[in-house]
Amino acid sequence: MSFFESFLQALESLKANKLRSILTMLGVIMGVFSIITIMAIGNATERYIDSQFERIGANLLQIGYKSLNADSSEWLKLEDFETIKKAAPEIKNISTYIQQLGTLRIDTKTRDALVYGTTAQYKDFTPMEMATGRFISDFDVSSRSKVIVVDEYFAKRYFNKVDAVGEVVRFKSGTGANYNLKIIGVTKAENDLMAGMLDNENMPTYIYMPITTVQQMYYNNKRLDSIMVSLDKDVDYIEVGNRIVRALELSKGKDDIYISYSTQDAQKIFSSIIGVISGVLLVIAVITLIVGGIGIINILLVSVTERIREIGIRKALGAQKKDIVLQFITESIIMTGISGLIGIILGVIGGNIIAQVVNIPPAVDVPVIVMAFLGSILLGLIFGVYPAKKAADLDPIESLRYE
Amino acid sequence: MIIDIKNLDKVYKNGKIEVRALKKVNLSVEKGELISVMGPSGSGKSTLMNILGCLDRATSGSYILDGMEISKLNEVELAKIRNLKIGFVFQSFNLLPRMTALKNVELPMIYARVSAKERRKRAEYALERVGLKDRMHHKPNEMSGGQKQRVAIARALVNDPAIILADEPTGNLDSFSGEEIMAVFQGLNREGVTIVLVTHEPDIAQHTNRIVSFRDGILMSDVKVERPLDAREVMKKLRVEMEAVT
Ligand SMILES: Nc1ncnc2c1ncn2[C@@H]1O[C@H](COP(=O)(O)OP(=O)(O)OP(=O)(O)O)[C@@H](O)[C@H]1O
Ligand SMILES: [Mg+2]
Repeated sequence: MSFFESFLQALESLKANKLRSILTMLGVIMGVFSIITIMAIGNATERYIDSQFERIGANLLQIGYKSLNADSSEWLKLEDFETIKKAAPEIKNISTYIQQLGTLRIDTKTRDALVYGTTAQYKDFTPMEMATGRFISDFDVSSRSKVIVVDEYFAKRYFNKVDAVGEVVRFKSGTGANYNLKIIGVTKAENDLMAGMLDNENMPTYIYMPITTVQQMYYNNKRLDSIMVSLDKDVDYIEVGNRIVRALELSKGKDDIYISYSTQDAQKIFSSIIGVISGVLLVIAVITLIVGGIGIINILLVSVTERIREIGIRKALGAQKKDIVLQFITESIIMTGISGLIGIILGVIGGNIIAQVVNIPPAVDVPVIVMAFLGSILLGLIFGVYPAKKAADLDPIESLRYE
Repeated sequence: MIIDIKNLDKVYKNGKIEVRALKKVNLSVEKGELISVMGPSGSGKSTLMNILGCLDRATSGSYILDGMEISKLNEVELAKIRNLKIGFVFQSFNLLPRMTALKNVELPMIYARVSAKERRKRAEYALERVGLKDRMHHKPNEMSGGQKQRVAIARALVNDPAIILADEPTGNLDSFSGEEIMAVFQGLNREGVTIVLVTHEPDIAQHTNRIVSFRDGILMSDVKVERPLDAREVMKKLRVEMEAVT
């Protein structure tokens, strides 16, 4: 019997037991669906993270404290920028930020604010675009200007327009003092995961101010949490980091108080965490698939028992063992193949829906799809062998007598 | 000679119990014969048919079919013999219920790797020979017992076998349908088809040219039928009788 013939016959017999075939296929469909979805989400997340790091455009190095309770003689300060620039002339940009909490008042409304006190170069470190106006300038920092950069959500909510540049807001710092701040720029809203959080009255809005202004508002505290340095991609960031740390320690006259770490490290850690999570999920999906496959073996065995007489007839009419084997394996492969296709389609749709919801670009690779399909076929082959062998080994005379 | 068996023995072994189903059977069948095999239940008729049909092997003795020593063949070769040289007709029809008459008749040709076009042509012709061309798209459950058996005969014919083996082909049929089947067999036999059939009914056996009788696995008698009944005439008579009753 040719493969084409056995394909047609297998299709017939599956059609004869439609509901049963579909229920059996469900297990494999779910397995393939989960695998494709998990791979898609894993890939998409990884790519999203890569792209976020990519937007920074360079290697980012952070210099921070080794110990949590550094005393004031060990504090990193704005003045240390000069030491760093001298020690590592190859750095592209240098910046820092401090975070404080405060309250903004616009007419009668108030809104909690998470204040980022930072320098002009901060915009080169973070994916940020101005909708209108400008970011903090060096002059703002050196002159401690009472200026503020807000985001688009904030501007729209409280001024009913994006271009809120020139408007004045009242700011109450953590010490209880009040200040009038002039809006100099509005950052573009990022339409992503964070959007819902940023545009929510009950959540603090993120605002930027010159770091010196913030330091002055909050007890004149000069301590920096860390200093960020950006480097060209091909620079040996470990060596530069070590050099900067040593220069800083030398200038403070202390040993072993600072540490440097890079975005590359962070990226690697992120990637490996995602890798582990999707690995675990993948194992679960594969188990689902195997359970589904056992369902197929089970149904094929039932089908063999039901068709003992048919097998006897076929053998009496001249079917060889290999014809019977082919017939049952084909049925199995058709079941897993169709299940695979449906699972792939659902998986692609599922991956896209989830990507839409969390706003990351969907990433279903063609090789993954091809592998999933071929894998399903292979599964059908493996699961079909035992029932097919059982069918082919039946004795024709006994099969013909079977009621 | 189509069939030539010599000193054929068949012993079934179930653990310690041995059943000698055939004992030193000698039988030869010439091309173009129409033979019936008779005997009480358990006398070994089906056992003989299974061996003749290459579904089973003899315990000892020789079986030559169409010039070939069957006991020397392997499983694949036996399947090919069943496919090409043998046409089976069973008491319980043994059609595949999901397939139409046409598809059922095509089945042996699928295993003979005949092309789809050729298959269709030959299946239609075989159904025509048994008088069922107009029913070729019907499924078995849409047909009477006699019609089902004719489909089975068409299926047995379709690969142009050396011999048709029918084990109680009329066993499940009323007498009129039985006559119809015998009419088909006699028609085919006139065209040169060799047929061996098993029957319990002496009336049916009287339609054949030769009757072989078994008892306890031994071939007891082998007699020629001087004037076989013509199924067409018996049918005519039955029709008249039926009309008289109603
Ligand atoms: N598979 C088997 N195992 C053991 N004994 C068997 C087997 N098949 C048949 N026999 C025995 O062989 C003998 C002949 O059986 P067979 O079926 O050939 O009889 P038969 O003439 O066809 O009878 P019937 O008219 O009832 O069909 C019987 O005694 C039967 O019990
Ligand atoms: Mg019998």
